Amino acid sequence: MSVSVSIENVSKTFGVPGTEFVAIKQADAQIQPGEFVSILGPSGCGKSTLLDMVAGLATPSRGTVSIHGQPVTGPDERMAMVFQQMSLLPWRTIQANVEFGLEVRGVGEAQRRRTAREMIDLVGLNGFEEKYPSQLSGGMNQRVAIARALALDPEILLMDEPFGALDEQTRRIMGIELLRIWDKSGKTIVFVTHSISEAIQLSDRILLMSSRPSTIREIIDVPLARPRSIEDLSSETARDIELRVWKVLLEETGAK
Amino acid sequence: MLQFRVSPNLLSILLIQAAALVAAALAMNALGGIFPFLPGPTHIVEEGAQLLIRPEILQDFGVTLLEASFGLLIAAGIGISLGLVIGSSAALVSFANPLILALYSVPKIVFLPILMLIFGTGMGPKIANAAVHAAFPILLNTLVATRDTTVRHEKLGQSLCMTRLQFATKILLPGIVPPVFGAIRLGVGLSFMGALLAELFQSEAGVGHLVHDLYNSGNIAGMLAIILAVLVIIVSLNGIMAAVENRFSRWREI
Ligand SMILES: Nc1ncnc2c1ncn2[C@@H]1O[C@H](COP(=O)(O)OP(=O)(O)OP(=O)(O)O)[C@@H](O)[C@H]1O
Ligand SMILES: [Mg+2]
Repeated sequence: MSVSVSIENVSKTFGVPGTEFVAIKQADAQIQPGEFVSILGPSGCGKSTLLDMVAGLATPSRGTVSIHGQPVTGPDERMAMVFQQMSLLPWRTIQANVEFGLEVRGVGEAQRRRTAREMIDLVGLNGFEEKYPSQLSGGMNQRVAIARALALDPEILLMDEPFGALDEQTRRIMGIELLRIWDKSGKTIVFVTHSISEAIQLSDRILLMSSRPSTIREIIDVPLARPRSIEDLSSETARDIELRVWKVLLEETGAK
Repeated sequence: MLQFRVSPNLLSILLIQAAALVAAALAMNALGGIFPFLPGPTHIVEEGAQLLIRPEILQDFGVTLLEASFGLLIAAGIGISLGLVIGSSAALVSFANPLILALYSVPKIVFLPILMLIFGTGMGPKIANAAVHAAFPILLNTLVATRDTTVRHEKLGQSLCMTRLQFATKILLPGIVPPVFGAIRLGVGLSFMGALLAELFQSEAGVGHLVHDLYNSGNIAGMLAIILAVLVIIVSLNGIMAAVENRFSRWREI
């Protein structure tokens, strides 16, 4: 099978010539179909920017991002995004929020309802269909956002710190559920995070970014069996990876 | 106090409001001793009753209500459309914001002479003054809400390849409804104020004219009664609008 997402020789500069601001200096990576890849790095290093370029929401200043060999020129039906900020529409019910993308794409009402119900079921929010986002907890709202993206049945799911605002426990549990969904669906997931343990819990590989102007410093394999138990996640292998990531991150931020 | 916040039911609110009224009446009685020209509450009620049962009173209030309503309608039309246009562009916002804020802080009454020059006499300048008073909060709220909603959901719109029309109807318009509605509610009082002020300056008809006449003929009790009646009307309209608002934005309450 061909490479799912290919990031080649990419850089991203903001601002006008003269007062340029290099966000990403150099990024290269290849993501395989069905792979779960995390992008990990210090705050402000350009993780969201990189994900936006994959999503077609931003254009690289140099280099190309391609999906199955075709350069990305704009948003694409094969990808769906879960955003960093709370992005549900507060005036819509949970059901209507999950249906939103399908509605925009012109899917008929009956089909829309059915798909949305399935996705709400998949993320474990049965019975909350007619509630509004303000009536749900932060974690539940993130599940709605995931269901909204999954409803579009994308081949590639792009997630920008989807659990960033959640507490440690909820985050862990949401991670387990995400893996369950991923395992069933066979989708490719690109997952931005700044949590080392989350990256180890979830990913096949971790793209470790340096601080700005950033590069992809290292690509780290996570050779832990799946499903990953708590024991696996505190095994020697897991701790070695954590140590390696920490070393790079501390080096990057200039701390010792 | 805490209990009141936990269960803010209508009855307790009404009770507190009634208590405040009684306190105000007692205070007026006390003040009457210091300022002899201030009429007491009973006097106000008597004069008010006499004034309010005259058939002409309907016309007085009718004129002002009409002016305020037209003014509010115009203010909403201009404020919302201008706010949408400006708020849709970051460049326009940074250009227009200082201007609007500067105008916002000017007492709107300074425009009345100009409005009188443009619209002459009759209801025209009153409607215009009501519109000028109500327009600014509506404009500002629409503008800010438009910008906020656009920025917040821009990426969602792009990632779903939404057309401009889809973005406007499915995200922007529903997103700005609550703040815009709140601003219109604010505009009710302001449009009344605009109409009344114009009627006081150019005293021809309406409640402002009536107040002016009562003052000139030394009927201070009658004047206060009419002012109270205006307050009651504004508060009631406000209450009705708040009820409508709640009904249509169920999602905001928990
Ligand atoms: N549209 C933009 N215009 C100018 N600068 C931008 C823009 N978007 C991002 N930047 C800058 O690029 C850098 C990278 O931003 P980005 O949001 O990608 O970081 P991040 O790694 O996602 O950070 P965080 O972990 O805090 O979300 C930041 O310094 C940011 O200020
Ligand atoms: Mg980010």
